Amino acid sequence: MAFVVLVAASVRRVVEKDMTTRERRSYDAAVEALKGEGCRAGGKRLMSTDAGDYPMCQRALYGAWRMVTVYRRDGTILIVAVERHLEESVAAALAETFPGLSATGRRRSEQPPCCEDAAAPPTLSDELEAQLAPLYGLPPNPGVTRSQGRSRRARSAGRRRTPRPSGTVA
Amino acid sequence: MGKRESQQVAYAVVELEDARDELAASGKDAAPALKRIDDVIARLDGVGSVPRGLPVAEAARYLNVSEPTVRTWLGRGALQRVPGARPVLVERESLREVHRLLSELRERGQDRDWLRTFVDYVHDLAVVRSPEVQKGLADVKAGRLEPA
Repeated sequence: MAFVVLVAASVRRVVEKDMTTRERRSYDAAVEALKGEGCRAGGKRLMSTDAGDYPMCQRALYGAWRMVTVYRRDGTILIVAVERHLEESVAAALAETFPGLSATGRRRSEQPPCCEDAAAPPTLSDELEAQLAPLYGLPPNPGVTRSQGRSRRARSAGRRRTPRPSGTVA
Repeated sequence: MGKRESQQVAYAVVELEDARDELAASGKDAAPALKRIDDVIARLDGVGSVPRGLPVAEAARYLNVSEPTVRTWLGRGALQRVPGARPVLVERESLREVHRLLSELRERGQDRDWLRTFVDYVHDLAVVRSPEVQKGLADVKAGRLEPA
């Protein structure tokens, strides 16, 4: 079965202007894989609530490049971003947050595949996300302004929610 | 009181405030003790030479992170500066707020499975919120799509 794959206009510009021939080849191969295999070629599923109604996945391309895709219910696959990952600062802040502990993520084999049905995606409260963002240099949540995060924090003083990044946590 | 001594008093006030919060959260009827602590904090705050915040080095020691990280967090707004203070002082309440958050994360991080998943989660948030992804989602909403 062939899947319909669409690409956002901003992605087209990045692919045409910023990628070398070799990087472009890996992008083209990923597109062909998506057309042929659908979400099975999508890489890993991202944990977050920000993707709205669609599951969002990330696939590694050549070098530091990665491709981010979303999946519509009608089966259409949308390539929403192709970008270089520059997460050293996030990793450094995590390492400082947990001194003496190895702040590494799960092995690739343990990460959720793109096709997995994430009926109950893990979430953090807006207030906690608002607090984590400046610690780890995350861009602000477009849906929640910093002042909103602060006022929610103030309202919820004394009933802080503990982060629940996955269902594996009690 | 010298500068060094006043900084030590400021650090002690922060610890006193932490102890006050722990006592208040213990669920015991500690109203008289809490009132005494509040009075002591107010008296110390009333001493003119006690700064309203901690220097970066002391803040780093209190949070158990490096000084560059404290400066980074000041830049990003996770920590607040005491207005007009030279050299920079980290405002006490924001310092305690971040300290509480870090303590909670560090406690939960003792569970290795939780920590791994949390690390993935933070990385995933960084991807989802990246400007490129947000631009792409805006294109999707606006119908700016082309066949791949």
